[in-house]
Amino acid sequence: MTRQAKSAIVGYGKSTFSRKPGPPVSDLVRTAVINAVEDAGIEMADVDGLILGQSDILERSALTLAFRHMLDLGTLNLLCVTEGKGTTMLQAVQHATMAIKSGVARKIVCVFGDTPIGADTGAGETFARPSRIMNLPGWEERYGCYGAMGAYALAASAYKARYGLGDDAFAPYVMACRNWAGLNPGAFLRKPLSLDDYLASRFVVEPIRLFDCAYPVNGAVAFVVSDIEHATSGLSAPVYLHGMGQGHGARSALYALCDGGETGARAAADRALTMAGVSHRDINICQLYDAFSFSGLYGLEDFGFCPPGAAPAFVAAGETSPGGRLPVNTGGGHLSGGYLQGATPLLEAVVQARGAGGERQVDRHDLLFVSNSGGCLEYHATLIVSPHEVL
Amino acid sequence: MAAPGEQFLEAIQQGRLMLPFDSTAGSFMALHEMDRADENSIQWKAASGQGILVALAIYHRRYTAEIDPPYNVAMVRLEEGPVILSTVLGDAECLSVGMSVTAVFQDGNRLAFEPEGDGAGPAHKTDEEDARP
Repeated sequence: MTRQAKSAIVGYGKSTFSRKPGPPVSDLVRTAVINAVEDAGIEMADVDGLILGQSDILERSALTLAFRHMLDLGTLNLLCVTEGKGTTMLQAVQHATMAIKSGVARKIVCVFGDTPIGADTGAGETFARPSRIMNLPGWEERYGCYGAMGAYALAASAYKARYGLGDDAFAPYVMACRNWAGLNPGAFLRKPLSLDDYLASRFVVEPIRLFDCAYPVNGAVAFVVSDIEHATSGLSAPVYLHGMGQGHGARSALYALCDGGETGARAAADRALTMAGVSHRDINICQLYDAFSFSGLYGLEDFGFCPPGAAPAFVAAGETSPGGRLPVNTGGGHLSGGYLQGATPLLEAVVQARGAGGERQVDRHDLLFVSNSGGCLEYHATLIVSPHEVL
Repeated sequence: MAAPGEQFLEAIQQGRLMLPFDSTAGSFMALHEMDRADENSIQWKAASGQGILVALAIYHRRYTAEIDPPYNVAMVRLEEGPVILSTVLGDAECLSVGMSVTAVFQDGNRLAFEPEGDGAGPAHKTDEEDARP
């Protein structure tokens, strides 16, 4: 049985990505939208929908519906702000696809921008808010449990203990991402990393070292999502969306590891794969949301690409590295490529699906799995994309 | 009647670790989900204070002026089932996930845990009348 794509990403655009404080997010998003529309080979007036992705860490006033006035847009058939923690970017593209399939709009621009690095605040401060684990007011503050880091470090410690992993367990993942980044001129951390380099990096919240953490940048990305009928009328090769899913589990990865239960990741993956009519082993490339090395490793298992506990050995064997059986985060991912939340994995998926990855291009790029995850891995959204309109 | 979360915190404030038991389901509730419960079906029961350390994060970076690093944040699975976020006392080298721990109260109302066999007495009174905060 053949399957027809649901929508197509026909253009993408970026602002500059920077580690220094710079323009407000609305300026960055504006640049990204203009570049995306140009890349698609359409006019701004052809855009009939706009979905603004709200970063969880950004002031609500930074990107509002009024942003539309910064662009020469006509009357829009769809305009909204969407927020789903780490899943915002993929949710925006999913909502666009649903709107297109229902006939509400035909060319919807989905954007995500963020400025974690401010004039007075480094990225570390921006993310240093109390972790919310117990759902009891003031509980985490009492123990100094701050940052997304707190929940992830706890989850990583439980994971390491469960499988008897040593201090170097996450190193191969970090090194693999760095190897990909070395092939990506747009990546931020490109110098090859040795095991000794990794082990010499300081603990932030043990067992998480500095090199286990995402590298946040200021920037914005925009995608033009189109109906299938008009997908090939522009300049760029369409990237077709064949499957999408979400899974918002009752349990975070932390609780799943400490106490059992589902995070929702598997549900999100299976729904997308089923919609596309493919299975895990058909996937050529994974672009995962890996804000921490642990998230990438756990994601490989939680989404069903590796059996529980098998990801560290799979990665250490080089399977996710350049030349491996299942390339993962081929632009360097969040750790080395740069962290722009859910936009990072989708951007690289589009580049790879187009065959535009240059030195890092993966030969087999017929089917790509893309994930976005938020909270402590209890919010998930996934896509299956391909350069082929029909599977 | 106060919300279950508030009742839990009030008991902690008095130096007692009380757990919400769902009499309809016949099981203890996950502490982070207790506000979802029908408060009429909750019975408060004193915890034994015994548990297993299931996750341990050691903060090396300063996040708050109030606590000097290094310090640890821990998840403990209590004997009764629920998992709780707290801290474990003692040298980091002596702590490992999977070890048995016992509840203690610092300064009368800060719940912490210490490795079992450190000579701590019961963390709280277990009188029947204390079973309802």
